[in-house]
Amino acid sequence: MSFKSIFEILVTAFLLIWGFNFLLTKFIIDNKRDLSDVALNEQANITSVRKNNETALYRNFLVPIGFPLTTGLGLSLGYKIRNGNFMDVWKAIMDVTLEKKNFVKFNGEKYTLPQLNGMANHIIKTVYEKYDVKQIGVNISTSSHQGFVISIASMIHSVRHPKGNGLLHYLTTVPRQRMEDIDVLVIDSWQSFRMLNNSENWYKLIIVCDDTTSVLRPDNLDHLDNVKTWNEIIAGYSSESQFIYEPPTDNSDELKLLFNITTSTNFTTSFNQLNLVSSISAFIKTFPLHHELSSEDTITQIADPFAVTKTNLQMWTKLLAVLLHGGSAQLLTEGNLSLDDIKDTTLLMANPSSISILTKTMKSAYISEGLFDSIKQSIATSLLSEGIMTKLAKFNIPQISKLRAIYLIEELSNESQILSFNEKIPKRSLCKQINAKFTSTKLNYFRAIFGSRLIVELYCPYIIMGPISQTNFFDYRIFSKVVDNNVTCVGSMTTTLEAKMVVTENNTDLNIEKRQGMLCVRGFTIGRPISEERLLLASKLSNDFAGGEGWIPLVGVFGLWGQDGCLYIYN
Amino acid sequence: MSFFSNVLFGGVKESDDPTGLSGNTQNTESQNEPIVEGVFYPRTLYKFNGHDDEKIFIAVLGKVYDCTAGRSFYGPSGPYSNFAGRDASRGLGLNSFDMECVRAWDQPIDDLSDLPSQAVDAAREWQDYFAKKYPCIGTLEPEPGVNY
Repeated sequence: MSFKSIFEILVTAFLLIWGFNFLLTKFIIDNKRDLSDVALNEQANITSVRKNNETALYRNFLVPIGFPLTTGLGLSLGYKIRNGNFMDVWKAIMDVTLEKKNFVKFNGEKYTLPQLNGMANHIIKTVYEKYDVKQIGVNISTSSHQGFVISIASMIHSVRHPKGNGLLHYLTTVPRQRMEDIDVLVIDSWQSFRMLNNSENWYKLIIVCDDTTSVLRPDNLDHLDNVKTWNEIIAGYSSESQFIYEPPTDNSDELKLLFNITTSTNFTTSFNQLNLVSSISAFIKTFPLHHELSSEDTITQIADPFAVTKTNLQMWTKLLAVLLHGGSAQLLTEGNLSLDDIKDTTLLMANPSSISILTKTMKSAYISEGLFDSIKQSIATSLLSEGIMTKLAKFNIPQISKLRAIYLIEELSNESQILSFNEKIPKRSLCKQINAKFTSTKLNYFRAIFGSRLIVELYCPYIIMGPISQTNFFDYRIFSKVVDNNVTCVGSMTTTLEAKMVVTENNTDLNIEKRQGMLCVRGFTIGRPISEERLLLASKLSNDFAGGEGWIPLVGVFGLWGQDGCLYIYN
Repeated sequence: MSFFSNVLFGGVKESDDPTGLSGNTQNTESQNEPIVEGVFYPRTLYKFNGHDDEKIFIAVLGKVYDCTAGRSFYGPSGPYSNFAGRDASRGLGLNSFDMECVRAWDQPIDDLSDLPSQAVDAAREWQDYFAKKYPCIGTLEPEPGVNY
């Protein structure tokens, strides 16, 4: 064969491959993408003007400028629209469960909703009404059925009570100083009981959610007639599938308090009904067409055992939204994770460490097919980076067969700074803003092996209910190393919040004209500081840095707006 | 060969850098930059008429409002398109959409001194309406050497 013939063959082969690649990328891949590049590059509504020393105002692409943010459930009552409150949500859940027979599992223990409703109503009678509870301090995780039932009971009772009595108050620790309004305390164990250290008489009732024969249980409890165990409290309850509630004819209930939450540094923030319903509504809206929530869904939330109070705040949004659609829920604690725990899960909410643990467990349970697996992985990650979801490389493990979306919780780590409302803004380089992050390549690896969507959500502990922002359901973009090394993409703002960046004196390296600065948020899921002192500090901070008007500067949270409208937080 | 080479060599397609951190910025950046709130002159206001620039700014009694959201009214072919990018105080006060009621950018700013008090009050009411409906983004001031 002559040199000319070889050359011709090579050129022909090259042209054929080039042509096929051209057809594949320009026509087949373009048509198969879950979301076009145009949509991925336009993920926010941005105001056309900005103030000096501020960026423009950014909103989710579903909420145009000039239109209201998501404020609630939009329930119709005649010709009026109500935002709703927890009672509307719980009533709807109880109505749906009659048909769907959905349930909630707490670390493997399964309870039907009539059971949970029955327990809550029983507690209302035996605790809230009997002891005329003003506030109930809860120092247990809502991932336990006791914590969940107590929370539900409080939320029902505080809306029904004309003065809002029976208010739920999540505590990070057993109180060391007397909190005047708290007259009933709920603790998880006899070990916590010992930490009360003679403060037992501060409370009308102490409920210890530990019915085991622990060695820490005091031998003689006879002199403490205000101490009861969970089983003593709950004895005699019966399932109730009916929940009777007559909604008001206006939005008067929406500003009633839902719960208070106190951090370990003693900052207390209150959340109201509007925070809850707008957060639920915003979550429901995140699902694209043909991927909506349904009664087929089971959400699993994995809680960090060392961040109980944070989880207590953030678990309600997704859990209630799923139950509202007739789906089921299960709550797990990270310490004892196994693959069987997430069996039948369709939506998984977990932090980076839980995802890492699950991935390790999956790898050890999965029998690899060697080279064949590597090829599948390579094709899957390439397709994902082109914007095409594929289950080609999904691990063949029955426990994850139904999984369709993972919510990766990214939490802002400088919570004490944010909650302090301190006007001394730190330098960006001195603070690490997100505890753990994955690169965009790693996220696509998870998408490939789990065979599910993965949505990154940014949370601000203790002050904002639900996420601040979340990545698009169909966003599988891979960023360059420079981007991944410097920032974390946390998607566009949730539909119930709007945000902007502002200039700060100590961070002259951030250029406001390049949309870089300190993050300020405004909207309907932000909690309110309880103490007058912190309220004044928050108000002053807002006026001094963000021009007032309801803006809350998140002290020490630095980021930038991408040209795609997404929020990028500096690592 | 990008897709094939990615599959063969385990690579991935990197998206464009939306942050600008890598130095590769998209071309659309300058076009989409928001306007900084502040002082406008009739000359600098004029281009925001919905035609020369997508945004629509209208001045009423010295305040400039971003009326881009009301494009169907103030944009090209809209019933109030004469007001876009201009001082609309006289037209609103007299309830007239004639071109005579709006001044060109190189003329002095209209002080409405020749208008009856009823017309000035009507203009104030319109200003209240604009303030409720559209964000105020600055003030309209005469440009030295051009408007006085």
